[in-house]
Amino acid sequence: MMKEHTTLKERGQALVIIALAAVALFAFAALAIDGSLVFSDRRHAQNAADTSAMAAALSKVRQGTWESDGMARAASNGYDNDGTTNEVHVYNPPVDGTYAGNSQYIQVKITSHVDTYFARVLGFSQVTNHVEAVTRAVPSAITPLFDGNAVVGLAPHDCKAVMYQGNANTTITGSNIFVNSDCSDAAFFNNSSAANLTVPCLNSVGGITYNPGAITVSGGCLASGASPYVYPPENYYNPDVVCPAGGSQTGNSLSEGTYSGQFPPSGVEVLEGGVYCVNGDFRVNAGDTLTGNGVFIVMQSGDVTFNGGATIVLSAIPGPMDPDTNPYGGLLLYMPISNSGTITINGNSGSAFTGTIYAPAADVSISGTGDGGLHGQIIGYTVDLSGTSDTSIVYNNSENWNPLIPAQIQVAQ
Amino acid sequence: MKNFNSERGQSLVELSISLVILLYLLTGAVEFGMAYFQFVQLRDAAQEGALYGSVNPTDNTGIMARIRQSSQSPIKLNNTSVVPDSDITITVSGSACEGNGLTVEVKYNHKIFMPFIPQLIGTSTVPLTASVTDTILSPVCP
Repeated sequence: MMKEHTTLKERGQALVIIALAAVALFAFAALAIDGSLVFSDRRHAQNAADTSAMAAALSKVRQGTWESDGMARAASNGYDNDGTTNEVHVYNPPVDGTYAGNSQYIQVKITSHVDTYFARVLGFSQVTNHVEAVTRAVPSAITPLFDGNAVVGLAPHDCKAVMYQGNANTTITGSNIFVNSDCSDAAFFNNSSAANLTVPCLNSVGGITYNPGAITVSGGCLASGASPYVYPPENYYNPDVVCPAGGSQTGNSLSEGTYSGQFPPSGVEVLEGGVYCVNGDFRVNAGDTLTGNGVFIVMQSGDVTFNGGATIVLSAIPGPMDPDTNPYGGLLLYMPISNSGTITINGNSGSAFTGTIYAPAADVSISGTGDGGLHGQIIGYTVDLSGTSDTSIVYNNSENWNPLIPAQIQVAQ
Repeated sequence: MKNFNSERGQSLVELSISLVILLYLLTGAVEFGMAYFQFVQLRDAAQEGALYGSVNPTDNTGIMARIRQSSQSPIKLNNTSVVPDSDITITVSGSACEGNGLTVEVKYNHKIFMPFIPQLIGTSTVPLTASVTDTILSPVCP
């Protein structure tokens, strides 16, 4: 009797256990399957948002229909903004977050609703994913080379990358000196004479060593800790040189062309306007004269030496630079990064130079520019302003070469 | 008569029946999980190829290599007998230059290992297709 009574009490017990177990089973199945579905969708939505933001940014810098282009890219990845399973929004400027209100940035937000299979037993029929991506779209622009600094030493780590310790005065007007080196002794201005270097500002990545009497910063700024430029310079900082074929000498005059060996050839006193590609040393000796108006000289190999006592008047092709019609406007002397030679300029009273001297791998030494001065920019690997004759460097942006900075897009978030 | 009324062993019978059902369900979950894992692998491979293609849109060999090298488990993507070249499609919308889309599609037939299902649905494989479209970033359009 006792046994029969116990058996009757346990009727239906297995059903309860199975029911409870089924709920637990569905819960785990929901965790495994629905969870993986949601995470997978989130990942795919994030990729879609990223590429959509890139598409919109590209479209914006090309003056295209950035909003619809961004939406189209999201749609091609399955997020078609149907309002039911997903919503896609492309904003410029972003409506929230770090870059809110900044018109350079584009924000793409995707909201995706994922239907569940097992979790609906537990009351969750849908899970929503929110993802976003932000890109930066900067249109192309023609800008001053290295921010228009008059003298730039690009060496990233060398000490005394820009130096002044002569016994002659150096005056820089219109812009500043920038020293790219992170050495503790990157800029060295340490003459012991009464001579003085005057410049509006001196900015250096690394340390500055100077005698108080050696330098006058008329703009009042003398600072280390500046942000460095990338070295070697970005490709868009380099002119796309097309060397003209041929070239010939007529009397004391030389026409544009490509020349090998000593430059200019013997007897040449005039460079006709145009482009000169030189494979060899460019040397003007004391007592010689060289004049060239509207010239662009490319030193593919070899050094440049202008000796004191020579009379040299050189001016670049007039600006402004135009990538299509006047690509070398304002560029007087270019030494590509493949040429790590030297440039030595000892001008006399009759010398004058106008235009940018750009030699990112060369050691540049300026020991006097003459009364006419150097109207331009001097950009070298290192720059030595020490000399025995006074030097005057005048920066006026319109007389210099301004590179075309291409449109840039960046993933910001 | 007393033996016929006895409920001895009833739990064992219930357990054996329910265990079969539970194991079958468990096999289904594993089957689904495996297929889904394969799908995620295909999509990651397509994403890898599309990302490479976004800066090298005409380098189909390179894109294909990126896809095949992206991972080898659970699908051996570098094995052309497992994933033949014909199952990888690279499509460019418009010209192969910036702003346009590059779509990479990767296919694979998942082989069903769950008992009786192939006979029930009439096929032993489930086609999996993953597609990713990325924006071409270079070169500049002429």
